[in-house]
Amino acid sequence: MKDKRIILGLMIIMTGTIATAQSLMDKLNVHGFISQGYIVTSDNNYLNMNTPKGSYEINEAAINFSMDMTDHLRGGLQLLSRDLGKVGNNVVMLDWAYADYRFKDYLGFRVGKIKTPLALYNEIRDVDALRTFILLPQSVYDENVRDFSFAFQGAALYGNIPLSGFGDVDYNLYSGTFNIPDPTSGFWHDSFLNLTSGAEMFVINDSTTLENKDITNSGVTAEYIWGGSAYWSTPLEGLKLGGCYLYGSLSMNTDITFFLNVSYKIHPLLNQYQSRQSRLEADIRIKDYYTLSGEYSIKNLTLTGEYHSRIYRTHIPASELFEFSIDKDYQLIGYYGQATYRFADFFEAGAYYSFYDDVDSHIQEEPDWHFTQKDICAAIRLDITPNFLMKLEAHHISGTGLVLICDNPSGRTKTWNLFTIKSSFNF
Amino acid sequence: MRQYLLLITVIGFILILPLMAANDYIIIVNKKTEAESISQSNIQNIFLGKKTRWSDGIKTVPVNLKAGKTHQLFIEELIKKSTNAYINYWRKMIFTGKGVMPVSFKTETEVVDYIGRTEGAIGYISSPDLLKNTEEVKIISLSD
Repeated sequence: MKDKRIILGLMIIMTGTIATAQSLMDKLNVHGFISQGYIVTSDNNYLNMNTPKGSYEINEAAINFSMDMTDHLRGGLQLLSRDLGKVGNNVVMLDWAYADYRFKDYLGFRVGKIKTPLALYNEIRDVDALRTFILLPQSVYDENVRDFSFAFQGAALYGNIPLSGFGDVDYNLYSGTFNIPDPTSGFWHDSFLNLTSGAEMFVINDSTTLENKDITNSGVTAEYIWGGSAYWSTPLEGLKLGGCYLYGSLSMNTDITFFLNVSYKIHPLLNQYQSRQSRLEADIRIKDYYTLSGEYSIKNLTLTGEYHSRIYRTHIPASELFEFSIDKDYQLIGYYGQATYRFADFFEAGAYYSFYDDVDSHIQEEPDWHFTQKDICAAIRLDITPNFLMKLEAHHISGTGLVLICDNPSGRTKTWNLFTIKSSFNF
Repeated sequence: MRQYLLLITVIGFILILPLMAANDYIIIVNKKTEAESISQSNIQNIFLGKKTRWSDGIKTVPVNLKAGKTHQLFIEELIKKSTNAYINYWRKMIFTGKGVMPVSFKTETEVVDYIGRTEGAIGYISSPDLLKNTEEVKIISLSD
């Protein structure tokens, strides 16, 4: 009899557990996507790839799980694998994972790893199915700085505020920190090279020339990030205006080795090759990082324009390598205008013009086109089924402001073209 | 004279016809919902996930049809988006973790059945005839 009661008790517990598990499964939402592309350029290695030879290293795959736990509380996470040349390499990473408690429509709270609400498309930059173009305008959505702009770990307040006949406003306020997955990758490597170029003047003199330099043990530490965004859905149906702002702090350090040729003017045979090592540290403030946005949709036509500016404030303290501290601001700007039109359920086309300028990096010794980039793009999107699509895209580009020096040691070509094709599946 | 009257009637019918066809949907809610009418902006905000509560605090549950003329007209005229743009809007919410796609059904019968057993639910169908066999769903009007 006692055994039967135990068995009955276990059956009740198991039934309850199974019922709970079934109930949870009914509430669980699972979605995902897979994208694979091919990219080729007429000149210049671009986006961390050997693109003149063509590259398939442009893909993303993700799966996400989310659930409404109560009427006010939602939780979820998304795992992402992506590859863009040397970046990503299909390492599975946590794209976002957070708990979301919505007190009221005008006030909610999120905590965890959250996509950074920057500009109109930053939060969905990895989801190919959500836009017409394969490559977002790089003047505003620079893949080189994706590390500190795509997501942060921290907390956010958000909400939607109706304006009584004047539309409504969606806002976000956030604070946290961010990770730098690989401080030796293309953009960071170029950044260290630029930082160390300032140290060269302290080792070069009339009798000493620089043969080469090497950087090792590079590290980037993100300290904090905070910002906000607000987008106004205006009373004019289809018109949305808004902007975002971000401020952040990070520190960079690296070991640098200068390989020098010391000339003794008595006789060339007395010239010596020397190496000099030192440690370089720098504090970087990402300040005044903002984007102003406007989008107008009417029937099947959507017009979008965004203007972006960011300033890096670099502080290099005095050290054995630098006789005195260095403080410098570097400003970069970018903007674009685009139009897309859906001709039919299965066919959409679009075009954009994008302009980028690394304003404070222009130097007399180099042509201006090294620091600017103008991009004319045309694309078509074919929705073969509601869940499967293909895109073809062409770019005509003038300038190499966004082309990494470290990927192009032999030099860069001013005017070049880019072609890319991509297919995506989502569920 | 009769010919002129006939001509005016035909012209008038032709002018009214688009309006008749355009309003080819009625808005329905679970009978426990207090609202008897709803504005276009509130419908839009509910179906875009911006308004999540009725005035009595009950959670709003938007219900869609998967496809069809009624679905297309409702989305274009009241949500002010194309059907593709509406799907993309919710995909953005899904892939950023901000929301889940509203429930959707192939047939209007399924829509009526779901709304009847779900407090706070709101949806749209083409004809009030579908409500003959249920007392759990009511029609609400569109207010200015």
